[in-house]
Amino acid sequence: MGQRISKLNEDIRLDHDLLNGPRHLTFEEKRILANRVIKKHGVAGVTLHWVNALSWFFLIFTGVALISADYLRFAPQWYLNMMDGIFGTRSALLHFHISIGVFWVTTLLLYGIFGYKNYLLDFVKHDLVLDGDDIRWFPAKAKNLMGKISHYEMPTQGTYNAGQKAYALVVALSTALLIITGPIMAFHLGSTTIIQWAMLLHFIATMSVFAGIFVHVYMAALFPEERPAFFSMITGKVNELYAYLHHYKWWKEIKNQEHVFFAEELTKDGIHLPELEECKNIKDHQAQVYTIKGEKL
Amino acid sequence: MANKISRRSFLKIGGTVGTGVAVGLSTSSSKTKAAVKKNPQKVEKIPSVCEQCFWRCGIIATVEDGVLKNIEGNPLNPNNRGRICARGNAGVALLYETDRLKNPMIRSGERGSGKWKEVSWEQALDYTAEKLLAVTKKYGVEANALFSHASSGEHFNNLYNYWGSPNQAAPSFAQCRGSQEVGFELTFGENIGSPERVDLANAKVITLIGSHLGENVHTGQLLDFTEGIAKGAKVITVDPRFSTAAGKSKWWLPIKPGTDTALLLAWINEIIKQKGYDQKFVRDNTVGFSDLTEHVKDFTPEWAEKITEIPANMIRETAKAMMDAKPAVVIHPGRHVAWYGNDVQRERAISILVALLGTWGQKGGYFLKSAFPYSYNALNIPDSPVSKRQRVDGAGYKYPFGSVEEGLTQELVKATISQKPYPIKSWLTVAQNVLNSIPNQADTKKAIDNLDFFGVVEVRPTEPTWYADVVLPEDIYLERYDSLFTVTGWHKPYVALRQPVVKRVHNTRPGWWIVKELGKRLGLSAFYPYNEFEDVLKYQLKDSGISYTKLQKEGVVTFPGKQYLNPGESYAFKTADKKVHLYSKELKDLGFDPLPKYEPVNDPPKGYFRLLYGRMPVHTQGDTESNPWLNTLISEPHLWINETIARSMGLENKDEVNLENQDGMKTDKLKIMITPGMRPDAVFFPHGFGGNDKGLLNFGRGRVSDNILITKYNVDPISGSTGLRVNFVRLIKDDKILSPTVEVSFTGVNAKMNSGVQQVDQNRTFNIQPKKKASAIREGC
Amino acid sequence: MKKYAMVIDMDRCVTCHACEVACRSHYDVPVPYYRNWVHALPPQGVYPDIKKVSYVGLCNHCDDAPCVKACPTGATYKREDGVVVVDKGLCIGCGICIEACPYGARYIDPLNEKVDKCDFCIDRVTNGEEPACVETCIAEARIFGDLNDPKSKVSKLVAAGAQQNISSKVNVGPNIYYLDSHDNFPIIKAAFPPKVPKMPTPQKMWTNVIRPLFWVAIGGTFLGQMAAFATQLFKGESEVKE
Repeated sequence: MGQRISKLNEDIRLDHDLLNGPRHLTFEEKRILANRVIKKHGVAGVTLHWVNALSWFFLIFTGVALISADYLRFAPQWYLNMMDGIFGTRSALLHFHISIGVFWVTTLLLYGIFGYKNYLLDFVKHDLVLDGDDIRWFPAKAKNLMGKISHYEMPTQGTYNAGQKAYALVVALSTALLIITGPIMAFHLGSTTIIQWAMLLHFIATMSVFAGIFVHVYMAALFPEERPAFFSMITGKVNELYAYLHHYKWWKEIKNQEHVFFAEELTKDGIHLPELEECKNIKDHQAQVYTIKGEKL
Repeated sequence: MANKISRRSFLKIGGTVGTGVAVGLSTSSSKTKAAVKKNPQKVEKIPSVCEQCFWRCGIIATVEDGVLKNIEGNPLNPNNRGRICARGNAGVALLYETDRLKNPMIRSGERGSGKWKEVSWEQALDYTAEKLLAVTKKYGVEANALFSHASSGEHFNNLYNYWGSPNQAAPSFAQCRGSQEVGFELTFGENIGSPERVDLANAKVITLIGSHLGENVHTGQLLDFTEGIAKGAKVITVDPRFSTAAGKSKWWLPIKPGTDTALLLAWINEIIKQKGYDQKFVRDNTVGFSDLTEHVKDFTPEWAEKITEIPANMIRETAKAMMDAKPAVVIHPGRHVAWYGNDVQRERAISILVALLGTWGQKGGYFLKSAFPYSYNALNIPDSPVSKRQRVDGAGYKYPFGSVEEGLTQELVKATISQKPYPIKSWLTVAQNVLNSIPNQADTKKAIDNLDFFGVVEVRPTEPTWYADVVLPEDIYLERYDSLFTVTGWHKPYVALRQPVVKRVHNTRPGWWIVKELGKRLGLSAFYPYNEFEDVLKYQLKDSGISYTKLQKEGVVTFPGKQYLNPGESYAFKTADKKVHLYSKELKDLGFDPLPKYEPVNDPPKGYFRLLYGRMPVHTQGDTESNPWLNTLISEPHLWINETIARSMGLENKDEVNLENQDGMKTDKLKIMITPGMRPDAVFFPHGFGGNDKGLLNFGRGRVSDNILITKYNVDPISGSTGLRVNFVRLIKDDKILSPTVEVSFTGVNAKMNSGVQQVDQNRTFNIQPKKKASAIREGC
Repeated sequence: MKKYAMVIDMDRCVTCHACEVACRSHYDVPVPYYRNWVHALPPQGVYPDIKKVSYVGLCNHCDDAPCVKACPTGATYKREDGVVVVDKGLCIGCGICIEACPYGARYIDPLNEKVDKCDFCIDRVTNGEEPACVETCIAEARIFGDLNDPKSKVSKLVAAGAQQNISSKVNVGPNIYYLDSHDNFPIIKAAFPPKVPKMPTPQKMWTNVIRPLFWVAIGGTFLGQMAAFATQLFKGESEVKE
């Protein structure tokens, strides 16, 4: 592939000023990168994600319990009965739903207003805007999942890949719809016609998110390749190898920045890094061992 | 939490407010009642007496923490027996109506300019007394006139009696029941009372001459009427209009307006001819039967048919029904009978018919007035002075049978204009809208211009308040005491107490207090030896055997009465010779016809219709027009007009027209209601709307009052009562005069037969199986 | 178990409107909304065959109430005694039930933005009193009672032929019956027929198109991911290629 093999005391980062995508790394290079941990999400961002997730959890589970009319409902009767039993009265269920909703909307609005630049704009720029690479990612990922291409051949992705962005778009739009329709329904902010349309949009918004949640949870939590992404939502950090391989454009943006820091020897903790082991199977990999002094920044 | 927040004012997208109701509704009653806490500390049920009309049903007010929540009928009151009409129910809305007069006012601009300054009661009463005394000094006490009505009026009538002015008038005689009272008094020596002592519940035949029971709503009477019909009574409705009563009648006789006397005479003719009268009663109790027989001998049904446009066989058939059913026949004497100015004679004819059928004191006929077994203590006050000058309205002399208790309103108006026999220089009106109740408004306005002083005691800013010099706002009936209601002429006679159910809402005062304060200032303190009116009531009842405490708690005390004569018992009629005067010597001696004759009335000129007016179930004349709960049901009068005639003029239902009468008086636009149930030569609309009530900001309806069209009226020479149905109107649409292009005749066609007996078709089957249960059925939360 | 119903005796009713005002008074129904109504028709027919009728109506507390089926949250429900009521704590004021009612018996109360309607004065009835409209009627034309009690007056009147305002298109088992021996009721049925319950457009879209699509989408993604997860478990994570 014509990559320069990095010299002993040159860092991998300097290498990539001219490269547009990740190259196959040596095992040691990978080990070094895997041991370096970068901050991806701040505490506020992580908190918001889980607050969001928890709110969504309560809202969806109580929300579907609230709709009992046959022609509208999503949940089976036994589920409705169970929720009625838990909450006592259905109006208690409604009040709970509205309370969580108010809390959720308030939290989001606080983030949106006070964190306009740091969080909202940042989120929009990195997570919602699809560029050419993102569009091409979809068919490429399909092929990748089927084993037809490797992820080195896929279009490079930014902080979030196109799949994550697509879902983020769905969630963002739905959230906007819910911030509007939720209060309309809870506080009667309009005529019956308005509330009826609000109901429809409310359901569409929630069900859109619900439809994607299985993919989101699976890809984030269960899919091995994305394991670092899951942990990033707890610690806020990813290892640099993961970033290099899967979010190259972001890695390139921040590769020389000060916020990159070392973590513990991740491999020693037994955390599985597929990237490290896979290299044994690539035919054109040159199994050269270099001694590289790990540097603590 | 969601309940408290209301964003209606910001986000009224889509619109949820209904149409057809005036903007700016007086919704204070709802808001005030909504302010009542969900769980009140103190709930009281206080009985009292309604005054939304003149029937005075017993009510029970539910008051929660001092706020009036609800009004229901008092089940113990034998008149309305626990039930109450739309207006009675709406008393709650009246109490909290935002249009109510709230404070005494003295005008600060020209009369009619609408400029007022609010003053204290002291100032208002001082001012009133000062003006009245000034008039008295210059012109004499009789120069002060009083226009009064209703329970409030009674206090003022007493005041003027104590003071010495005989010039007092209420519209109840001259514009309403006067001729009926006189007609019956001439025949039977007594009138049929108010409430009318008609035993509708037990009648087999009920004859209504113009009475539109059902649109004219008097609770006790309607309970009896509907009971009678349910028990199988057959109803004969004589009315140019297909009234609610006509809808329940076996016979609807759409009589030509003004010809009722001819019909009555033909009935009398037929009943005498067929010997269908109560021969024993006639023989034992009446005088003048042979004169009567002779008098009516030519008044055959055929003769009447030509006049009334009712087929002769129909006249015979209905006569037969009445004959066959006697004595359980109610011929309703009528209530508002001020039609043509010959109304005493018509009432005489009715009373003669009643006498012939022997229904007096009989079950299903007229029941008796009972003797009052108790006596009230009289107040220890001086005798009223005898006025030096005769009253000016002619009651008792020019109109020999004009009521001296109730007076003759239009005559008092005319005397105020003419200043003859002596000037009338002050008017005080109490609970009477002189502009909407007395015909020929122009006269009334002219009379007011002649006055040195015009004072109004009122509850709502009706049109006359606009011209007043001083406005004294009165407590409504729910806020005050009034005299005891002693009703001896009912199935079960009773005494009822009106007491305040809530503390007053505005700076108003009850009539009894106003007259006491005025009396003080007029030098009449001797006549008011009490501070609280409740003390008067207690004093009156002290030795009577009626417990005031019981009255307070239950609202009413009944006493035994006698409704019917025992079999074979004779009644001592209250005439001089104790007999029923079929032939009236009294009338003859005064130069009037001793036996009723039919007097023709003018036909409407071509292109005009006779203007008929009447009642509607939801409003009481002009009193309730602006009550939000009643106005939402009927907010404007609709003009009844014959369908064929209307369509020939290119009109559709709910089109708007102006009415113009024969004197060029024009109304604002009103909607029409086209119906086949209206004679082609007349139009009808309910009385009571649209004076120029500028003070009624929410419901000013412009000039669609029937009274502004009643510029012409006749005066009955016997009673002095007016005849108001003598005006003709034509329709104008978009400044074009409309003329019917067809002629419609009701002659020669029989009225519809409706069975008065409840029949059930046994052969009908009904599939009333319940469908499968709804998906969410559970016990109440 | 009771089955509350009401009979309107059209022979007795004089269209005095007292029932409308009594109801408004008891429940503080704000003008211009109403829980019951008296729609008076002008006298009609061909002279001399004239009839004067009015449609006296209120919530029919239907056996197969379309409003109960329409309510998204179950706020409107039918009690065991037949009375259809609205749980204000659960009502969201969407008004779908208003469009579902064939008789136009419901409205949004502007004071709390929730749906309101006649509840047969159930708080009074529980206390042994009659509904306000029944108690005030000055023609004794309203009879209230338990249809499941064969001895009650309403049962007898229904057995004697009192009719419901139903049509061939709409029969949801109303529990307001009309007694009429003058053949006037057909006029009422023609002038005020029960309307076919309407579903608002957004809800129609949801039920007919959008909800089915979501079932497919959610079912699809769930099953898809389940399959991927199963594959992953089965094959072990080593199989995942770089």
